[in-house]
Amino acid sequence: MKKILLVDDIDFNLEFEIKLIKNIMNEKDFELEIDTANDVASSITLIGKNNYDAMVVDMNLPDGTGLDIAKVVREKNPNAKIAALTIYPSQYEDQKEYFDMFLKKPIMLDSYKDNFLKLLQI
Amino acid sequence: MHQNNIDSLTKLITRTYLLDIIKTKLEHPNVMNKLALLYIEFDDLDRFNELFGYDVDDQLLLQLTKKIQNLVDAESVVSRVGNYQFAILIYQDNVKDAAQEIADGIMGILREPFCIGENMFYVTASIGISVLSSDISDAYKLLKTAENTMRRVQKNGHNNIAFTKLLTDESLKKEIELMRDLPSAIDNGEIYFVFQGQYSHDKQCFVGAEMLTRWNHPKYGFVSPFIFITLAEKSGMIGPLTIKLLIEASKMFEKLEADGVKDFSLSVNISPVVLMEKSFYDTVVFLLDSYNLRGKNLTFEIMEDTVSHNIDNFANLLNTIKDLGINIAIDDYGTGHTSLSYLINLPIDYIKIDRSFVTGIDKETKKFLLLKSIIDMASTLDMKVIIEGVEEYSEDDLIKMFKDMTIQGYLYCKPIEAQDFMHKVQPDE
Repeated sequence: MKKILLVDDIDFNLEFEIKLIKNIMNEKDFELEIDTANDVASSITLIGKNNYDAMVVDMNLPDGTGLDIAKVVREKNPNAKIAALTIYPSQYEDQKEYFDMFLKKPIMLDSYKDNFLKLLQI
Repeated sequence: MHQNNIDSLTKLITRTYLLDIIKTKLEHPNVMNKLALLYIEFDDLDRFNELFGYDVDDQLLLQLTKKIQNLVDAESVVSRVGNYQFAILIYQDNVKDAAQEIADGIMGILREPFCIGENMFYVTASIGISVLSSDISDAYKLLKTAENTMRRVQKNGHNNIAFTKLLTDESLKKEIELMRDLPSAIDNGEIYFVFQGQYSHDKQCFVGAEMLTRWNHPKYGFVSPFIFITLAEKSGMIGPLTIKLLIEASKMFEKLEADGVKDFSLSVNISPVVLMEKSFYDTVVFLLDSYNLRGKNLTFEIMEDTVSHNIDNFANLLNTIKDLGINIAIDDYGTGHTSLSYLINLPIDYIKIDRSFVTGIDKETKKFLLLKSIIDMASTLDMKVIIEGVEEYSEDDLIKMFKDMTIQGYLYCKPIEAQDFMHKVQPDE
C-alpha cells in the first residue's frame, strides 16, 4: 500500500484533502495510508521515520515553506513525488526542480483529482 | 516640415506627426500630469458628406478647424487624426482643468449652428481625454486611450466628454488588489460566514438561517459582498468559495445537532456561475457524502433572474438537485423579471419576497394588497414564503395575518456569527 503525507497548517484544508483523496480511492478502488502534518518541523520528523511515496505540501507554513520540506525529502528519498500546494505557483518558478508538480489553492475538485492521480502515477 | 506631416485640407498636422511631437514632449523633465490629449470625433459627419457632398463637408471641417484653433493657446497642438477626428495636445500645469476647459469650449462652439451656403448645420462631438501618468506613459498609449475613451462616450450616447480611467483610478486599483487577495482570503479565513435567522410566526422560533458571506480585508476593512462575489465570479474563485460555504454549513449542522437542534434549515446562495458549472452536481454529491450533509436541511437560494435567463435547461438541473433532497428557493423575488406563473414548472420550494414589497406595507394599503396577492399566488402554487427585510413591528403585525409565514429581517435577527446565533436557537422538544 502506498503511503502519503499531506502538509497544511489549516486543519480545514487537511480535512478537505483527506475527504477528497478518500473519494478518489473509492472511485478508483485503491488504498493509501495517509499521514498529516501542520508545519515543517513535524513534517521532517515524519519524513525521518517513514518512506513516503508521495506528498502534497502547502508552501506557506508557520515555521518555514514547503521548499524546506522538499529539500529534506530530495536528500532522503529522491524517488518520492512531491506536489507543492500554493495560491501563487509562479512565485516558485526558481524552485521547480524540487517539485514534481504544483497544485493550485484553493483546491478545485476536478484538477486536484486528476493531478493527484498523476502524482501517484495511478 | 515634410508634406506628409500636414493634412492637405485643414493644414493641421497628421496623426503620425502628432505622435512624434508627443514623443519630443516626453523628453522634457517633469512632464507627468502636465500633458493631456483630447480625442474628438464629430458625430455623424459622414452622413453630411453623403447628404450634401464633399464640398459642404470640407467647408464644415474648415470652419471647425478655425474655431478649435481659436480656442487653444499657442502651446497647444491641434491635429487631424482621421476623417472626422481631431486631437488636441495640451502641455501645461493643471492640465486636467485645462483639458476640461477646452473640451467644454468645443461643446460651446457646437451649440451654435454652422452656416454653409444657404444651409445651417448643427454638429455634436464625443470627446475622450487622457492625461499622461505612470499608467499612460508613452505617445501611442496616450493617443489610443483617449481614442478608446471617446469610443466609450459614443457607446454611451455620444455628445459628451470623458476622462480615461486606468490604474490611476483608486477604485480600479482596489478591485485589482481584492481580486489578487481573494484566493488567500478564502483559504485563510479572512472571508467568513454569518447567519441571519429565519423566524416562524406559527412555531414562534427560528426554523432556519441564511448563511451570508463577509470579507474583512486587512487594508480595506469590510468589503461589500456585492463587490467581492462579483470578483469571485470573474476570477473563478466562486466555486471554491461555495465549497467552503457548504462545508461551513456542515460544521454548523454538527454544532446544532450537538445542542439538540435537529429540524433546522440552512440556506446558501448559489451563484448562477456556479450553478452552470458542469462539475457542480458532482461537487454537491461529494460534499453531501463526505461531510454528512443532509439535503433536506439545506436550501439553495437562486436569484430570480438566473431562472429567466436559462429556463430551457433549468428544470432538469433543479430536478437533479431536488433528487438529492435539497430545497430550492427563489431569492429576492420581485426584483427580477419573472412571473410566478413562469416558475410553475420548476421544482421550487420557497420564494423569498424581496424587502421592497414589505417596507411600508403598514402605511400604504396598495403595497399591502400587492404583498397579499404574491403570498396568495405562492400558496396556490404550493410554494412556501419567506418574507425578507421586516424591520418594523407594524409591518410584522400585518404579516402575522397570513398563515405559515417565515420572516427574515433585522426585527428578529441581524446577520451574526455562528457562536452568537447558537444562543438564538432552541433544542427540539
